[in-house]
Amino acid sequence: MASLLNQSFQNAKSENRPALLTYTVAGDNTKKKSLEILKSISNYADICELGFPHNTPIADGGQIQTSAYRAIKNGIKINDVFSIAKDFKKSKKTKPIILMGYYNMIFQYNENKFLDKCKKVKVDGLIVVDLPYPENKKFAAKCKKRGVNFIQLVSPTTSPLRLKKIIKDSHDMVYYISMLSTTGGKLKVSPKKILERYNKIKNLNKSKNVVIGFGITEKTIKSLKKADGLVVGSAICKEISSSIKKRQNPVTNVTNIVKRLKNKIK
Amino acid sequence: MAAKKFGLKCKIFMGAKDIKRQKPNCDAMKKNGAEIVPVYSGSQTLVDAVSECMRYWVSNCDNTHMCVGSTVGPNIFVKICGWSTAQISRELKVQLKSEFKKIPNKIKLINCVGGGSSAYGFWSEFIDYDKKQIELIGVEAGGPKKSKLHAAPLSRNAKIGILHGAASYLCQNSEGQINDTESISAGLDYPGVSPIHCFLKDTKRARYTYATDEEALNAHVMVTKYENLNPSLEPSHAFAEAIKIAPKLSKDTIIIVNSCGDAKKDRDILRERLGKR
Repeated sequence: MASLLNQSFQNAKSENRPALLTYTVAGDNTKKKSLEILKSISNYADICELGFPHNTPIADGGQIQTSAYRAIKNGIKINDVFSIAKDFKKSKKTKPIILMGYYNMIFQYNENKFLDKCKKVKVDGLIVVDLPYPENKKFAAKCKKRGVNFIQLVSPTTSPLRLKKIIKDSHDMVYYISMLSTTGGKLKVSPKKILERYNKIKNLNKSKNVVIGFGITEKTIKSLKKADGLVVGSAICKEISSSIKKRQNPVTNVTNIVKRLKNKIK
Repeated sequence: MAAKKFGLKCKIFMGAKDIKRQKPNCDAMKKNGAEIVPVYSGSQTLVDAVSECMRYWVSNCDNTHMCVGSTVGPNIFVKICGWSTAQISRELKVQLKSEFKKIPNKIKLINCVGGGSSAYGFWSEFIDYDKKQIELIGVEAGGPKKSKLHAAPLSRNAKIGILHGAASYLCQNSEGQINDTESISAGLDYPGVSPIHCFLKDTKRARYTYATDEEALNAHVMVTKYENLNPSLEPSHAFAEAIKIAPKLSKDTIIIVNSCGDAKKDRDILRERLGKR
């Protein structure tokens, strides 16, 4: 049977649009609220990425850093992240969820214990930002054994040879980082150029679902709609921050953003 | 400064707290044409500065090189820094031979360890010697005597963790969040440590201990009083250990402390802690 991730991409393809992937931080701004946000936006998003917050997030720009610090300050622990994922999956059985974070937290939790827990709560995929290829090969194999997709990252600086190897060892989904940047940077490369590189990756193996992330906002999303999937993270985290500041309900505001993002790629 | 010599632009990332407490250093860097970028995230010290520097670099690596001023971070940066600082031990070897005609039989090389660049540089040429002949002693920052916080992952039994692209003993909590550190010395105030030192600890080639803020201050006072030296707070940690162990050593044991920084940069802290001097 095809994985839930594959099914979601196929589903989007059948509607002639890219899959929409959202990123929110577990526990931002509270455990309860982040679950509410997740459930609500999943009515429009095809795949939900849920970040487990780290206090030294070296790949993240200001928006996601703020979300992560807020969640940690509110006392979120790894087990809370799993319980959010579990609750989510109970009501949204067919909606894939991807956990995303930094390796030290998995390492301290214990790799095997972490992955067993992922399997148990039905996590569909994992992105580990600071565990690059080929250091991630063993871990990726462990994921596969448990039916969890390990998602490889590739970037504009990935050499052709390395790219080939990574694609060969990748699972159902590959994440292309659109430009040299941390998360939440301004899209500084033309969409044409990004799609050119995207196609090069795609041509290596058409069966892999390649998503593009970093720098994607309401403004830029339409220009990249030829991709298999598009990830929006910082724009969402930013909305949560501004909702809190304005004392508005982040659930409604964030859902509205995701609704608008979806409309732009239909 | 290297950048000035080669006509390159140079940005220095520094925690806002460190900019304040190491002002004389910042003034010197600025005078040499560097731009100092203050980092306000987290604890506003070295760990945040390294994170922010890495963020800048991944965003600009098509036209920018990253240099890490300590033997921490991804493998290659440890090597680049370690190769450069190793010059200290190459020179020390020459000095030893001219002073004693040969490498003496009992030596203790004492150095402070934050990230561990100067310690590695000080020891590099001597690592292959038997530890009975040349003992390597690393002194970490124990933090204030009354505080639970410190920056001493090696000597206070921190667990191995991953930070800034490398695995090392790391001050962290059970969830893998990086702990706040505390030290009077800005240069030692880092939760991780060079993987090289973790290796030297595991193989028992080097011994690691720590000195508290107070012990370092006392050592600074004593050394400036009796020697024609003005060690900064970093090497004052190493002097503290030398003062502690010296009375128990035999007469033919030679202690060499690397006085790897000048107290000019710590002027403000010393004035605050020791009064007018």
